[in-house]
Amino acid sequence: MTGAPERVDVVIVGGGPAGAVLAATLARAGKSVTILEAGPPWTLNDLVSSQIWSRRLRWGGPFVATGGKHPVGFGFNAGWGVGGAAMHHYGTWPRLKPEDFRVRTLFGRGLDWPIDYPTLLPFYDRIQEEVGISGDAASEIWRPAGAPYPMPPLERTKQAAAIARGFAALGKRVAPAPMAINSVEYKGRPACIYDGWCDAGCPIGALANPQVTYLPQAKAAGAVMIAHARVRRVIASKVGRMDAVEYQAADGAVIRQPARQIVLAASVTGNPAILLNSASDLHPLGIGNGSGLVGRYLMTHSLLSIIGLFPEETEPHRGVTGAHLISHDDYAKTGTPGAFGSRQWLIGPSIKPNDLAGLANANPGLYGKALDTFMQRAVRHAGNMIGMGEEIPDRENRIELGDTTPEWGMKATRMVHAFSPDAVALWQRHRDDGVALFKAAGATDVTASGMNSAHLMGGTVMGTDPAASVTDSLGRVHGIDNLWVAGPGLFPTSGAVNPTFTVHALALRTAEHLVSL
Amino acid sequence: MILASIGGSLVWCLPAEAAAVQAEFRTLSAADGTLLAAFAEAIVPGAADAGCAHFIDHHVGVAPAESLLSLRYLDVAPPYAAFYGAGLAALRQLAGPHPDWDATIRRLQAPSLAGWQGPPPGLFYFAVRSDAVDAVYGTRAGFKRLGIEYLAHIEPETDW
Repeated sequence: MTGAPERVDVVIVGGGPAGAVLAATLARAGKSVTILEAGPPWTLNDLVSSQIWSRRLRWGGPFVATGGKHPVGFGFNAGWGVGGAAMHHYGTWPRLKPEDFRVRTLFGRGLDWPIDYPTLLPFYDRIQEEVGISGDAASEIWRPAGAPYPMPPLERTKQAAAIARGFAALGKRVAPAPMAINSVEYKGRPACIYDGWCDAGCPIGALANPQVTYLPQAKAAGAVMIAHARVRRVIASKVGRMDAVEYQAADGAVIRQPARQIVLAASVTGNPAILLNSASDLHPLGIGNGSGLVGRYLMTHSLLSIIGLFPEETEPHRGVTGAHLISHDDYAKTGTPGAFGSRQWLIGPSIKPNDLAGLANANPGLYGKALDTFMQRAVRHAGNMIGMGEEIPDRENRIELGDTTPEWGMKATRMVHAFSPDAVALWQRHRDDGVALFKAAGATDVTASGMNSAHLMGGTVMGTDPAASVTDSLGRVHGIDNLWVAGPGLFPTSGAVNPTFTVHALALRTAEHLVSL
Repeated sequence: MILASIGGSLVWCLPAEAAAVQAEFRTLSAADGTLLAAFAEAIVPGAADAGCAHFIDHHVGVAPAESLLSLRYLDVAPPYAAFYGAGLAALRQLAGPHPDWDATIRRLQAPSLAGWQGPPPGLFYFAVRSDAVDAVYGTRAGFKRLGIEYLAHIEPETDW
């Protein structure tokens, strides 16, 4: 054990989007803030335009095992380094809807959030104004109440226009996707140039990643970022109060960082791992685990990719990686016969030749000359859209510690996950609808992917009852005065929308409460 | 760029350059490297000349956090060399001394494969296919070959 840093007002574990919002808000309010980030200190210059190079932005820490009937895709979803997963996120920022917050009350399934949509609405609006979202609120007839978007929508690409024909033919509505990507210059950040490299990170800052939004503000206000700081546990000297976090520094030294307030913003897997690894005589089951729910209710979105070839040239490599159009016509939780849950379409994302979500994987069975023939056509004529489906929280889906101690002085983390029959049925209907929509648009060679997963949520769910949740609505761990959780791990339900906007809104709400302490 | 063993010296070069001079494999055995190159070529024509096997050889030899292999996305436990080593050993058994690659690839794609002793055959096929797709289509040279603009914000150091 070496080093004895001074006590700070707030230590934040994790330099991703939630940590960035908290750090900026707290530092601007005059708090002393230290951010401990496990991964490397990326800069915008590291965001090389290459699907191959972008793999550096994915998790590079100790191996996280994935198991269960339907293992969650961890490697593709997780982040690594300063900025976290939001460095490679696509900037698709729809809001959750009022019913997403009250699934238990309205439908007798899953969980309720301890807050409702009106409570979060002002935080959505303020984040939207500060970060900037491009879209057309009036066209999103399914959009809940909120301020209109501060920027006009992104361009409708050739690809998106081709796919939209299918929706029109089958009487389904589309709208410009709400994107945290600048359609015009906004607050000193330039407009998107539609080069389709969002997945590799956007070095020009048109896409709102933490290195162009909140981290610069945090740094300017005096927050300190320490990279390669692998937090292994939270230290408590008495029940109900935490003293410090312990981390392993880049040189291997083990350091304790004392803090008045401790925020865990270290990802859906990282936060439970730290809490469980912090077990001691005071907290034999792990910190905050009196309910036995730390790590429980892990959620993901079922993921589906539809790809087809259109008669016209679609330039699929151009655009943004998230979506140009969106459809929530099938978002109603009871709107899919034989299934339960919401679903959304993200239409016309740019798609490059290679990578997990690339054109070559439209049909992994293709090889040899047939693959090359397909690729030659697909790079000019392909269209694609992404379907996401809701998963109702299941206690058995979980993050837990294994038996080994591979690195960082922590036991290995593993995830156990299975989709429910409802989620499978929802996905199957989504798949069939997607194929029909593409055929109605005039596409040929239409393929649908298998049932994959996108986004990680849950594991440290918020709630009003300490026996049925890990934190309160602000992310404060039940029974502990000064330990907070931030990020999508707080979500009691997933809805069917991308989580990053909601992560920002929740983090701002928590941050402003912390400022008041 | 990869670090290749050429003429007894370690040289930073493109995977295609390593393949062109038949650089010694550094992590894989020579037999495994040769088999991997042939398998990748059968899946994606052009993969052998693009240096797919040398690309893999380099990136299974670096720390997982530095690796650029798509295997990072497939939730395979490191060391990655063990994954390829076991897969190639099983592939050698399956394909025999004079591989019929069409037949072999079809068998790898089947729901079950009796006698295979390696990583799940479908996963192994998918991983090597992804590597070969990277090598042939995923670089600036690959985009040019497909006739589409690369549109880089920040150029990769090289074609890779």
